[in-house]
Amino acid sequence: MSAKTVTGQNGKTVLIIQDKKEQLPATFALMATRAARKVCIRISGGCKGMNTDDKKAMLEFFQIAFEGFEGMIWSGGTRQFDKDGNLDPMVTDVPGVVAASNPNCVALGSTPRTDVLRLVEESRLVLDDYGTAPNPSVNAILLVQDGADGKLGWDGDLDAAFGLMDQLAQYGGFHRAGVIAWNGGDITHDEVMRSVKRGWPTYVIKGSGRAADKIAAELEAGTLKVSENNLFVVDKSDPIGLRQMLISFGFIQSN
Amino acid sequence: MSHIIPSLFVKNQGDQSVKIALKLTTARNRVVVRLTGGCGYMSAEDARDFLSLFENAFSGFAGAMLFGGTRMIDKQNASQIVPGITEIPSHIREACPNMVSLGVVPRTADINITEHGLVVSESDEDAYRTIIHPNQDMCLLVQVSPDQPAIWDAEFEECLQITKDLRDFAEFKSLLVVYNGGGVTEREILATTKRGWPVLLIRGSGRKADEYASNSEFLKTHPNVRVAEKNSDNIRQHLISFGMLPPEKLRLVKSRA
Repeated sequence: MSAKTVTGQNGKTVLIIQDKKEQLPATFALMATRAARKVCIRISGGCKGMNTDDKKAMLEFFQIAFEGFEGMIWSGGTRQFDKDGNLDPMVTDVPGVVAASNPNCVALGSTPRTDVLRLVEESRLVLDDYGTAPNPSVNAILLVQDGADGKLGWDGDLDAAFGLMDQLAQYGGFHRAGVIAWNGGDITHDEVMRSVKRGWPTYVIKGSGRAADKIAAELEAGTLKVSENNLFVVDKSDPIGLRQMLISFGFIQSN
Repeated sequence: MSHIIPSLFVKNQGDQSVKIALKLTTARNRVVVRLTGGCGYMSAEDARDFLSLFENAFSGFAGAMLFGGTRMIDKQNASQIVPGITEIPSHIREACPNMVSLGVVPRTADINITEHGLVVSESDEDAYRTIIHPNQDMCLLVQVSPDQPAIWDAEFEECLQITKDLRDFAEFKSLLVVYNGGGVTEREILATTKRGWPVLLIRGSGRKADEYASNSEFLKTHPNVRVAEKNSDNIRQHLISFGMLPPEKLRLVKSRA
């Protein structure tokens, strides 16, 4: 199987396009409700500074932590390839990896349209000149655009992303929402703070790099200005520790 | 009576509502029943019995239910409810706490706020006025725009769209249940059968339901359409066979547990 093979449910990855001025599409929100359990969690972050072994270890970390997960898990909705066309694993591959071993969960993605969409090779859709593609391992992707001509920054989908989790919690009977941060930059920092302010359980993975490490260090030093007590630090060597936290907050049902 | 306080939503045709879509998915089971038809030429005996007919047939229902969302009340005595098919879901809902009901009402005229409720339709020829039904989880009022009302067909067209979204994106099973009904009901039957979605016609309920239930050529060319006799047990068996209710043995085990 190639890194470009679609492995979403029923061999499809549904692409739903939303204009940022318009409301969230009901169709995308309904895709989230396919999950067997009404919980949702967003994996935020990046892989800057990570080598191939680090990325492999990252995927294994989440595989262990999320064993038995039956909710909705989602992330950035893109996939990267190396110069030979092989998978260059990113945080955005975590939902698909978790879904592959947990068939009752739903993997989704959201991404802003940062450039003109284009078809390459055998009519394959890519999102920019760097070959960034819609991630084919998730069930559906929400592509947020600023009108037909506009281009958004990489944080252009965050309002829609957090809006979806708000609506799932308020109207869809989802009893838990949360965010996990691995590595990442300013956008990841923003996602962590949005989650913390909502009172959702929020986890930063210490040792994963950049924003996650910075937040973890500030929290442990007591210099992070947050009044809530819903922000937790987990070491990247301790996937079982994350798993136990996910169980204690009801994201995963204990056996 | 129920202590549910219905949420009222208003939308223009063609718009979508995330809130309504998500609230429908809070039903325990991923099934949606659309109840359509009417009560034209119904006998006094039928009008008395058809509530218990459906209440018994749907016992234990835990899906979403779409219906007309209105109630007819006597003009002279507002406490007198005129029997109608739209009374059925609230009776079922009383006994089925895990279901979710949504009334869909086309705004065919200006709405009047009265001491008896929101009046959506009233004419000098009729002895009754039509109000938004007070016993439902949600009511969706559909219009073309604030200045332009919708036609009665908007009800079933909206229900078709909601059903399509639930089927395509949330893995729901669906069933159209037809009791009696006239021209609008006929268009809904044909629009639903054209999509290949399941339909259950209640034989003996009158008008269009009977007409199509006795049309052997129609039934032969539309295997997704089945006919139930007008009794609770038979309707119930069909609901089970369509997957709208769990099998009886399973239900008994669950209720004992």
